[in-house]
Amino acid sequence: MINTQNRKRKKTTDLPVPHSRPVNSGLNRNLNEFLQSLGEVLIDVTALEVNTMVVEQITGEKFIAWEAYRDIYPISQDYLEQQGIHESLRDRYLELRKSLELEYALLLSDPSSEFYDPSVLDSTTGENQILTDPTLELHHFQTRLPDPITPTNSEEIFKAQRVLRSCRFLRSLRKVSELKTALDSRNKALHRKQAEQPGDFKPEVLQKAVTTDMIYAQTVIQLDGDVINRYPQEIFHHPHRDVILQIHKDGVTAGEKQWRGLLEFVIGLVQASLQWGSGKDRSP
Amino acid sequence: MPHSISRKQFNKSWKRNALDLEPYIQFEQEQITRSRVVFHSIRFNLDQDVLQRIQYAQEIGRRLYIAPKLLADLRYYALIDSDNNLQSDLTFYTYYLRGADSEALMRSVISTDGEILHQIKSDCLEHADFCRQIAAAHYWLIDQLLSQLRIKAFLHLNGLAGALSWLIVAAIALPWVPLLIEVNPWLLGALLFMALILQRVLQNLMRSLWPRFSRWLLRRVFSGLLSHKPLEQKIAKGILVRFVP
Repeated sequence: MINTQNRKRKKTTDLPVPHSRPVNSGLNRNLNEFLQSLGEVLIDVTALEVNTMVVEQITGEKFIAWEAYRDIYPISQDYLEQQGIHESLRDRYLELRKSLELEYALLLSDPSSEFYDPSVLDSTTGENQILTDPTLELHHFQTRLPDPITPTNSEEIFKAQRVLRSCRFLRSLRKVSELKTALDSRNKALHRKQAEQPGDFKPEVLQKAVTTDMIYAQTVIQLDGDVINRYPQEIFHHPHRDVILQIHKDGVTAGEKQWRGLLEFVIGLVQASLQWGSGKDRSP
Repeated sequence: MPHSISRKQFNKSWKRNALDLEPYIQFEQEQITRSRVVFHSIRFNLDQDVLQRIQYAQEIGRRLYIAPKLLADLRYYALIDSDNNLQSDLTFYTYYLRGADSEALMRSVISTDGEILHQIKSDCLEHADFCRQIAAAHYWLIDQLLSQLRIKAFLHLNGLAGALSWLIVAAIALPWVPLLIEVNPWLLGALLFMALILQRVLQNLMRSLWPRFSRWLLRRVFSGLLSHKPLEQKIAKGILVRFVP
């Protein structure tokens, strides 16, 4: 069901003609920009993904793009060591930082984006490695992301602010930031556990002892109708396994409906207000 | 059901049958400047009593009543973020009140691009039944809010077509009544017949033009919501509250 509806939705984005109409007023420009970002979101929809996470605390933390960017930008092996991040989590932090770098490289390599920079595709200089080599490690390439911490000039700050206005980049940043918050909590919990029970803890034992701030179940419903469920090993030893699985199962059913409600509203509104253009407004 | 006579009654009974939890649903927002408010999330403040009412509503298939103002705000936040871009996701919190204390037990982030994150507080898992009840209420509330977002039609304007056509017909026909009574009261029957036909024609004509008008209005609303000018936004929100069910 999701399958066909998603396909329909994708098609509806072809209907509006955000670029073909002359942009003559502020209102139209806003509408065009809105439609463009909606188009980008819908192209990105490849599956419905529901994650269920058990956390130690739910904080009402608010997302502020600049702060989140400044938090994630400096992540590197040395930085994690300095910050005392638990060894077992470092790879995951690095992975998050890399995914943001990749998102930026994708933005730079997209000819339709305002950030387009063909040099990112250059294979002779190795600049395209981040795009082509999935095994590439963070310390093996020079970051292209604008530096928000020690900017070399005002242009750098301006560049960082500009990238934070890109809807696509912001969406990735939000998700990376969400996962980083969970990793930060897990890091604290691991350290606490280690302090409670001094002695040589094997990393695997310690990981098992901390049961919070991790995704316990993930369901991906792909556009072709395939459903993939993923569970970490830890779920099998969790004392409340059945409740978590039940909540996840209900969350998947509810999530599908909730997402459909949200998307139908946005697309319905766009469609309803643009159909008018198909009569009088659109030139033959 | 003839819609002109019973729309109000229908709305009233629908409202009576639906569960009204408005005092327990809260928008978490921050006033940044005088005219700028940044929206963060939607918060449900539940207690044992509300939990039971939700459970009962679920069992008998009752819907959640969403007041027009709340629905209009929700539509606005579901569409546009604080920088006037397309909203990327909506975050929902469920807080549980025990005496004077309240703590967040669940959090869900629903992204437009199809990524959903549900978070549950680990302590809550220790009480399996309570935990299931909280999760069911949390999911149901989000579901109810999001499934009522969709704009069905400018229903109020449709009703207006009927009322307006009657008004026009009355304005045309009434001045003829005294004259017809003088000449031959039986002619009143003919006038009534003609008035009925005229009303039907007018109503149908208006109805055929309404979609065009309502789409135009919807587009103005949409553009107004995206506008950076506070007045235009205010007008658009006003239309959304009053005319969009």
